[in-house]
Amino acid sequence: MLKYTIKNIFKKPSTVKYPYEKRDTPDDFRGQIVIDVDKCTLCHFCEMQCAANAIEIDKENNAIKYKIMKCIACGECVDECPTEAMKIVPQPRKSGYDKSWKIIKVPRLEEKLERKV
Amino acid sequence: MQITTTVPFGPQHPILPEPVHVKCELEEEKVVSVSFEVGYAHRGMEKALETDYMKGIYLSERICGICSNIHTTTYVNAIEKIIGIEAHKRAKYIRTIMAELERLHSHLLWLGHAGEAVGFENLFMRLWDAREIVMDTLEFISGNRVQYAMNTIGGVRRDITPKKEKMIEDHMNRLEEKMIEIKRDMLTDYLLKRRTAGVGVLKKEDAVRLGTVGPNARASGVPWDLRMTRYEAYEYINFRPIVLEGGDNLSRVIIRVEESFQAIDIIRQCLNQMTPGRTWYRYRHEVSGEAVARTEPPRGELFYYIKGNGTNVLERVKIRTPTFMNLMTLPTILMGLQFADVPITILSIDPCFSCTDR
Amino acid sequence: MKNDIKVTDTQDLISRLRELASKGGRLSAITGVDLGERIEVIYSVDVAYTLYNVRIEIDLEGEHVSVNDIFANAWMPENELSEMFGVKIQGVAGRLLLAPEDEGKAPLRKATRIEVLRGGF
Repeated sequence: MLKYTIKNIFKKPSTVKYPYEKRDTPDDFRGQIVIDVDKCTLCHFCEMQCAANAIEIDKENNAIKYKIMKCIACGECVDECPTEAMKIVPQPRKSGYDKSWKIIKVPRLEEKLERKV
Repeated sequence: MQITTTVPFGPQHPILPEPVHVKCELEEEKVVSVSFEVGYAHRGMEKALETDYMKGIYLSERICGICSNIHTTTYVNAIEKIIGIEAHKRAKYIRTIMAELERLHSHLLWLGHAGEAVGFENLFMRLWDAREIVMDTLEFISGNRVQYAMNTIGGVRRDITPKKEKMIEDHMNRLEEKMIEIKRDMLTDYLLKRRTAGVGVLKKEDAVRLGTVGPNARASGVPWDLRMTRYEAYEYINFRPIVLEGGDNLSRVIIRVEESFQAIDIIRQCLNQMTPGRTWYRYRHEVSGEAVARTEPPRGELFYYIKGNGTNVLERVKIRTPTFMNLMTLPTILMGLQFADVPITILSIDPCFSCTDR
Repeated sequence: MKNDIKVTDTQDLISRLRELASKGGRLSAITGVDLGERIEVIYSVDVAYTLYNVRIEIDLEGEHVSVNDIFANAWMPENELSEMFGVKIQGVAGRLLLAPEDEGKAPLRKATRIEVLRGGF
């Protein structure tokens, strides 16, 4: 015990002073979900599978309502999406006060076909 | 005439990690009777789990923070028994590695608390520093430090690549070196032995009569370990449960140290035996019927009963957690103790009240 | 499920449980399932790593017998069964987990509707 105490005087502390120093995170860290609107077809699959009820699809207004504060980053929507429009990225979410929905507009099918031609 | 004093060991106390109310009656500083109340963290999880069975995986994980992965493993085992499928072999090995990593981090957390309860704070700091190696390993495998979202019906959702296998081995070697030094300093210490030897004795007949489970029973000489039913990948692994005689607080400390070394050994055996293969497959099932699944979390025996009625919404989920049965030994082991020994004795049965109250 | 034993009256239940306890059994759990008109109670006893489930259907009114003299660790599961389903058991107070203002509500029965509070979300 005494040998450990003497060795410990010359070691630096093992705490990481976040946010002044950053620690290295893995590549598949569960940060947040990013939606690619060019691939989305508003098929409702992600809304049926969401474990936290954080996605709502509005077909008349062509919009996806997404609540960042409720999402638990489980990745079920990423596995379910048939056109691979959802991706999980390792950037962590920032803290904030706003608990409202975030509305993402999806371009209609005719506009997407026009852009391709 | 003797005067009886009632002292509440309340829901808030620096020693307790989670809330319980224990009412001790004392005569001249010795305990004569004990009664307790639970229910401070009741959230109604059994009613909330009557929902879509795929969403229930993520809800059952959030019942407890320390033993979160074994709750999903047991839930998924029960649903797989109803449907009639079995997981792939590589998925069973990965589930076993996650269960043993969780046993490691839970025992290291408890040993730190026990050191703090007897006044040995240096041990607390060293053990929680060693525990960070286990948390880094869990983060590299699954993406989160707690509540990993790794299990699904039929397998696991993320695979272990060869680079991650090498990293797990390096981390386990570093952890074992640190733990050998800590064990030598802990078990030759005069203060820890004086405060815990011969205190809070649970005899073997009482352990059998009261139905104790987990390391508390194995520290009193009862060789019950539910891993001997060889669920998941335990049928391919060579191990025997550790049993100590004695039944006092010191035996309960020593058995958790020995189980941590056994967990590192089981992880190494799993990594040597794994062969490449598929880890999951995914399609929809209908759940109709009932089944029971039991596993061994770090604290005892976990019991899940699930009943489905043919749709995707479950009808009844019943959870019985290990601390629910271990709490009933408190009136027996607290009899006749000095009041200063009550905190370390209540802590030595390793209570987890978020599991008890659900 | 494997190893199911179905009994129809309480005398049979007590004798089966005593037989399992004499073989070295340990009470694992007491489960209640709501069947609409009646409630099914399942006693799960573990004998050398094999689980035996003894099932009995009881009415909602009237008192049910307690197994506390056969298994010494039965009083906490019986308190939870009596509180969550509104069943009366002999010698059991029926208070474990719910707050004092919620007593008597029997939350796990299908007929009870729970209103879900959404806090500002």
